[in-house]
Amino acid sequence: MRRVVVAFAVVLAASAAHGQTRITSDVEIRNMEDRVRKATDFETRVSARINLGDLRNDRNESAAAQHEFEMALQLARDAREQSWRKHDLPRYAVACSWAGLALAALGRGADAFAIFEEAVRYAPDSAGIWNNYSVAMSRLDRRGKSTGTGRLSVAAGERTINPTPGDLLRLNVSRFTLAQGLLNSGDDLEKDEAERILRTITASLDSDTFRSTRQAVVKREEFQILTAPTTETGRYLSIFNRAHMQLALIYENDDRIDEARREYQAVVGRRSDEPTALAGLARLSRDPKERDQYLIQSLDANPFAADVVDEYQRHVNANVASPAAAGGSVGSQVRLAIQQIHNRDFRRGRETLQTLIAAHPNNDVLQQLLASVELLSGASSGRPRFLDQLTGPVANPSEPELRAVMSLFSTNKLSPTDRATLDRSEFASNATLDKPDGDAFAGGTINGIPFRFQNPTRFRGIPSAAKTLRVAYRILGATTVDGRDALLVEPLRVEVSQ
Amino acid sequence: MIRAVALSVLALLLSVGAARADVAMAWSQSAGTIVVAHPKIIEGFDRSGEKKLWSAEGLVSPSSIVTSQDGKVVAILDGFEDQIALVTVANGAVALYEAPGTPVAAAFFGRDAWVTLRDLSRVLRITPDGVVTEFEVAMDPALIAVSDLFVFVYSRAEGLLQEIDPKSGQVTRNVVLGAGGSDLEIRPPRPFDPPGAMAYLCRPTAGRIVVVDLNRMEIQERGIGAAPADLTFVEFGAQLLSFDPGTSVIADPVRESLHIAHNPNVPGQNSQESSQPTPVDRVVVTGAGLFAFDSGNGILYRIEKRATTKVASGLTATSFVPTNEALFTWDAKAGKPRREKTTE
Repeated sequence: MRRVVVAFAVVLAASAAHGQTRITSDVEIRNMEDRVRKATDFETRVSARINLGDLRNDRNESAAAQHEFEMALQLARDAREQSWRKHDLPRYAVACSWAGLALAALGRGADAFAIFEEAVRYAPDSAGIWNNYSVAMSRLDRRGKSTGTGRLSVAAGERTINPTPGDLLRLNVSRFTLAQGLLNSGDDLEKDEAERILRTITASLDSDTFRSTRQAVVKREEFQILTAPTTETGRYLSIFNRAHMQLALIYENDDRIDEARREYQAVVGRRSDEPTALAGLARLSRDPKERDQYLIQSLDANPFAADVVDEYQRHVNANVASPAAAGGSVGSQVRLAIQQIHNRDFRRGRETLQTLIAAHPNNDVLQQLLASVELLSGASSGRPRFLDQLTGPVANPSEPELRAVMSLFSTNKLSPTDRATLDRSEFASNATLDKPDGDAFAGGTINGIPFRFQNPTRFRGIPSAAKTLRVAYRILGATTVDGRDALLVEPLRVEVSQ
Repeated sequence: MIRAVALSVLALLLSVGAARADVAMAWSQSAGTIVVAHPKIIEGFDRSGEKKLWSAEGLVSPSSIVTSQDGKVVAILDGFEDQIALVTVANGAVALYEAPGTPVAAAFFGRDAWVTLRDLSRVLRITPDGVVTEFEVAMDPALIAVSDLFVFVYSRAEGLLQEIDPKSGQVTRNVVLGAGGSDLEIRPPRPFDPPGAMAYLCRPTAGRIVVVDLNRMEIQERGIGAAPADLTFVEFGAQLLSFDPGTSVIADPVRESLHIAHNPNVPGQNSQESSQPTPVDRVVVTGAGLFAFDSGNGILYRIEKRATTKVASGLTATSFVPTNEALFTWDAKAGKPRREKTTE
C-alpha cells in the first residue's frame, strides 16, 4: 500500500498562562482566506480552515473560530466519504484524522477519539496521523493520551530509513508534540524529558541539514506561525518558533532568566515582531523603559492577546508607560484606551474602544475592556456583564469585573438569581500562586486581586514549584487576605504555565 | 472457536446523521441476554429485545464491548474517559474501574478480564474479586486474544505477538508478525488436529494474512486480496445453511469483497471472492447468519452463498449485535433493541 504524507498539525500552547504563542493579524487572516479560496487539494483547504479557526481564537473571536472548525469538519467529512468510495484507505485515514482534529477543536472529545481510532486502524504506521491524534488529545486536555500517541508518532518518524530534510522536519514536529504533551502532564521528570526533546529540536533545526530551508525562509520572507503549515518553510518556521518559545517559558518559570531571554531573542531574531516573545522579553526586563518598548511592539504585532493586554494594564498602573497617541496602529489605540481607563477619562476611553469595536466586531478582549469602562464609570450600575449575559464559561474576567463582584458580595447586593448564576458560572484566569505550604496551595492573585481557595489545595500533576497557573474556578464569595479585599474561590481545574 | 477481540472501536459515521458513536451492544448466549451500553447507562434485555431485565449506571462514552466465553460477564471500555465496566449479565451488577491509560481492547481468560492500555504499553488483568494487576508489553498493544493456555497481545507498532502466562503475567515467548495488524483471531485445535492453537492476523496495509502455529511459534504469510482487514470463522456446530463449519471469511474493503474459503487452517486459500455492493471491512458470524459491515457508510449486510442483503444503515461497528436467532440494532426512540429483518 502506498505511503501518504500527512500535513502535520502543530500542537498549540494556547491554553497556558502566557500561551498566546501565535501572532494574529488581518494580513494573516486574509492570506489564509485567500488560500482556502484558491486551493484545490483537500489537505491545503482543510488545514487552512483549522489555521483560520485558531487565528480567530487568538483574536478572541470565538464564534468565527467555531465556524471555521465546522467548515474544516465538513471538508474532512466529504473527503472521507470520497476516499472510502474510491477504496483509497491511506487517504481515508488522513481524512479521518483531519475530521478528528476539527472535532477536537469543537470540543467533541469522544467523537474525535472514535474517528482517530478509525484512522489508525488503516494507517497505524503514519507518524503524521499519530501526531494529529496527539495534537487533538492535547487540545482536549487528555494528557496521557496526548503523550502516548505522541510517542507513537515519534517512533513512527524514527523508523524512516534514509530520512530527507522533509522527513526530519516532520519528525521534529512529532517531537515537539510529544514535548508539549509531557509538559502538560505537570510531572517534574516528564518536564525534564520535554526540555531535552526541545533542545534536540532546536539543535536539529540549527543543523546543516536545514541550511537551504533557512535560506528559503529568509528569501520568501515567510512569517506565518501556523497550526497546520503545509509548506516545508512554513513547517520549519512554526516549529522553530514554538520550540524556542516553549524552552523560554520553561526557563522563565524556573527563574533561569538569562536562558529564557536567549530563547525569546532567538524567536525575535527570526521574526522581529513576534508578539509573545516580545511580551516575554518585557516581563524579563528590569528597565521600565525597555519593558515599555517591548510591550508597545508586542501590542502593535497583536493588539488582542489577553495576557499581553493584562501585562500592559499592570505596566500602566505602575505609572511607567509612555503616552499613547490617538490614531496610529490598532495596538496604539488599544494602549490609548487602557491609559484613558487608568486616568478615569471614561468618555474618551469609551469612544476609543467603540471605534476599535466598529472595526473589529465580536472581539472578546475589546468587549471586556468596554465592560470595564462601563463598570468603573458607573454606567452599568456596578454589575459585571456576566451576571446578566451568561452564555458559557467566562474567560479572563477583568480586574474591574472581579472587583465589582467582590463589592456586590461585601455589600450584600447579590440577588438569589445572581447567586445562582455565579454558582453555575465557571471562570478561567491566569493566576500567580502564593508559595505553597508543603504541596498545598492556599491562594494567590488574579489580575492583581488576592484570592483564597476555599481550602488549601493540592493539584494532581502540578509540581509545588509551579508559580503561574491557568485556573478554572467558581467564585464563592468575598473575603480578606492580609487586610485586603479578596475573592474566595473553588478551584475546578489547573494547568501549569508553559 | 474462541472468539478473539479485535479493536472494535466505534467508527464515527460522519456521513450519516442518525448514526451515534455512543452505543455498544453485546450478546450473552448462555444468559440469553442482549447487553446495551449507551452514555451513562447499561441495560440488559431478553433475547427478543422486548423486555428490559435490568438497568445500571454506565460509562460516559462506551467505545467497545466484549462478552466472556461463559457469557456471564461483559467488559465495556470507554477509551476516551479511560474507564472499564465489568457487568454481571445475570443481574446487571456493575464494577467500574478507572484505567491508568487508554483502554483499547479486551478479552477474557476464564473469569479474568484482560485489557490493553495503549498510552502505557501495558495490559491489565482484573480478577473477579476486583484485583487489578498491570504488566508491561511492547508499544501500541492494539489487539488481544486468548487460547486455552495463554493470553496473546499484539503490539501493532512493532508487529510483535506476545504470549503471556495468565497466572504470572510474564511474557513467555514472542514472535514478530509485522506491523499494522487490524484483527487477531485465535482458534484452538479441532479434534484430530495437531496440538496447539493457531493465530491469524490481518495486515490490511501489507495485503497479507499471517498464520501462526502457536505451538511452534512458526509463521506463514499469505497474500490475500488487496487489504484483508477482518477475519472470522464459521464455528463448528454452527447451524448455518449457507456456509460449512470451518469456513473462513475475510473482509477486503479495497476489493469491495469477501474472500470465502473452506480450509480452516489456511484462510483465503483457494478462496472464492464474493463482491459486495460497497466496501466492507468487518465481518461477524453467529447462529443468526454471516454479516458484513461497511464502516465508511455504516451499512450492514447479511451474506448468503449467492446473495447479499442490506439489513440496516446508519450504524457504527458496535451499534448492532447478532444473537443466535436474529440481528438487533439499537432503537434510541423506543429505548430498546430493534429486531431487524434479515431476509428478503
